Amino acid sequence: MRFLRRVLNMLVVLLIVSLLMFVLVRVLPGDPVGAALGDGATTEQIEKFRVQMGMDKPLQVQYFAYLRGLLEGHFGVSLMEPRDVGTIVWERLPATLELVVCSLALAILVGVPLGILAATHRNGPIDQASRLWSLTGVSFPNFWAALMLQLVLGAALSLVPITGRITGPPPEHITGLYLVDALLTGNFRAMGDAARHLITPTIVLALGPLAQITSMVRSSMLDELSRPYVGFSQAVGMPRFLINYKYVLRNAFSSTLTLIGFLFPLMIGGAFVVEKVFAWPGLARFGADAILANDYNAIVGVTLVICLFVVVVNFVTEELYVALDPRIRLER
Amino acid sequence: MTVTIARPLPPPPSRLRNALRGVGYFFRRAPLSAFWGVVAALIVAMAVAAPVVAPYPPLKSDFRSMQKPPSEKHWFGTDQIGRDTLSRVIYGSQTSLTVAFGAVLFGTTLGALWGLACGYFGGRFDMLSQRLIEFLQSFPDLILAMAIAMALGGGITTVIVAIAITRIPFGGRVIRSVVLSLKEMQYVEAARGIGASHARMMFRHILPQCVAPFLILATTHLGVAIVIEASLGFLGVGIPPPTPTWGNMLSDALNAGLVPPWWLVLFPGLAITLTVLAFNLLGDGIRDMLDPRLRGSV
Repeated sequence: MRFLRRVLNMLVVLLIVSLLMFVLVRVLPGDPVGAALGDGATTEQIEKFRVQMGMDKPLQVQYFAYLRGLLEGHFGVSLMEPRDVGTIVWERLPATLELVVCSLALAILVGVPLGILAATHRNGPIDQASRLWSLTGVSFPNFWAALMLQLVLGAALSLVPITGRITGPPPEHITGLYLVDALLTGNFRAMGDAARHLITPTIVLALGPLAQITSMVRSSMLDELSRPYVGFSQAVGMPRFLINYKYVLRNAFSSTLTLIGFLFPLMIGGAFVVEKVFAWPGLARFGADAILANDYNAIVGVTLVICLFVVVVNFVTEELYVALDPRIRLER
Repeated sequence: MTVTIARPLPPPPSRLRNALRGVGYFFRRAPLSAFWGVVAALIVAMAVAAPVVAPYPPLKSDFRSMQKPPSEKHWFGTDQIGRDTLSRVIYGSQTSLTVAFGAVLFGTTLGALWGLACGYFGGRFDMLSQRLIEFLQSFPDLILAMAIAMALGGGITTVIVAIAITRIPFGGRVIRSVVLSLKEMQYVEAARGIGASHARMMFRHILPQCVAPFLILATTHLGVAIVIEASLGFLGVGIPPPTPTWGNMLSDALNAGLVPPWWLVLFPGLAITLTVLAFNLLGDGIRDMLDPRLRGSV
């Protein structure tokens, strides 16, 4: 019952976002039609195009037509390339997902152990380094880190490719995630190549989240370590690692989980610039181009898809939260 | 008959003296943060004194030395059309700092006042506001700023407004939670008891207690605003060229070829990092000094 209500809640959020975005892009200044047709377009051409796109009708009629289209899986035609936005999004989504998921995995796999070490060896070298990093890590724009890594790893040392997602033909399309596709088809050349292309963008996108995860794990571990039960367990002779990993970490982890939910939208924002630097053919780059071109349908479509992901990720983290931490029971 | 004259009381310490004492305390208490505070001050001074400090005008092209690596004549090298990178970095600080201070002054403050109202009044107003804030926060900062900047058209005011709007929810959230706990304090209750008006309680009794968290928030937001401004410039929706901004310079560098020359990338980026780091560490120090309880909350 609770589950159903939450799903309904998510749908309402998405509906509101779609309405707001739909109205906003149309109300705010800017002339997408003129831009799409170019300077040479005559008034008749523009008028014809507007009728074609349904832009001559009242706003509410347009919105309901849009919603009806959504139900059938149509996101409307993009002005940048004359295809349905849904198709383009569907094509480009895997590239961004691959990047974001890899970065998140990297940030968690490195950040959590680092945070634990920092907390258990308080004021030690790891602790000092991670604290310094948590301040520095949020201090530079990630596109700069991207450019620098590109220069050093890609150009100067030639360790990794400079831009793009793959050299040569991509593996047979199954999921669109090159790593997975290559693995499934046993195309290990493509897999290695895709992985090499992934290295720098992944590191860049993981830098900020890594700093945040480390400091979150550290501070919540420290909070938890100061509780009476820790001293008690120690007094009765429970081994230190058992206290740390079985009890402290588990209790400390729920706040980290919430953070990971928050990080997801942030990383998609990061992908907007990182994808530009690496010429990564992802959704975020399409979104950035759409905003620059004032492409109504594309902006609304991309926002909706991003929102959908944010909502779903939040939902999943909250469910995990309950599963991991029996102290919390969501009564709502 | 003897008259005893009371010795006059020592004059109360002047405000300036108090402020100076505060600064001295800060230096002793958090030398590292104080050092970075000095760096931040120097950067602000550099921005103000840009015409004096910069060796060349930022827009002047020297066609005899185009895209040259750092040399004695041009310490930070030159870009594709022979403009001096050092001078552009120095002038870039003007734009970055103007935008950052403007956005924080406008956005964080508005957010804080909103948070004050939410926390104080509570009820339906608070609930509606929280939903609105959640909505604003569900968009990544950069995307939101980009969309607003794009919709309003280029220019420095637009960029300030765009970044300010992304700052509002954070100010609102933090100050609201502070107000919520302050509201339950006995002295506030006492004020209510003797019949103080809403405005008096909000501005006279609660607001002064919000200054510390606000200052901490504001310094951190300065850093964030600089990063967003640079990112907007990089994406091409910031302040239009040829105005030198750090983001624009990095964006230009990308156009210099598949592999941009290292000096065009390194120096503007270092300028951003150094500035943001200075503000962040300063904010950290202020937080430790003003309110140790807030450690890690902003």
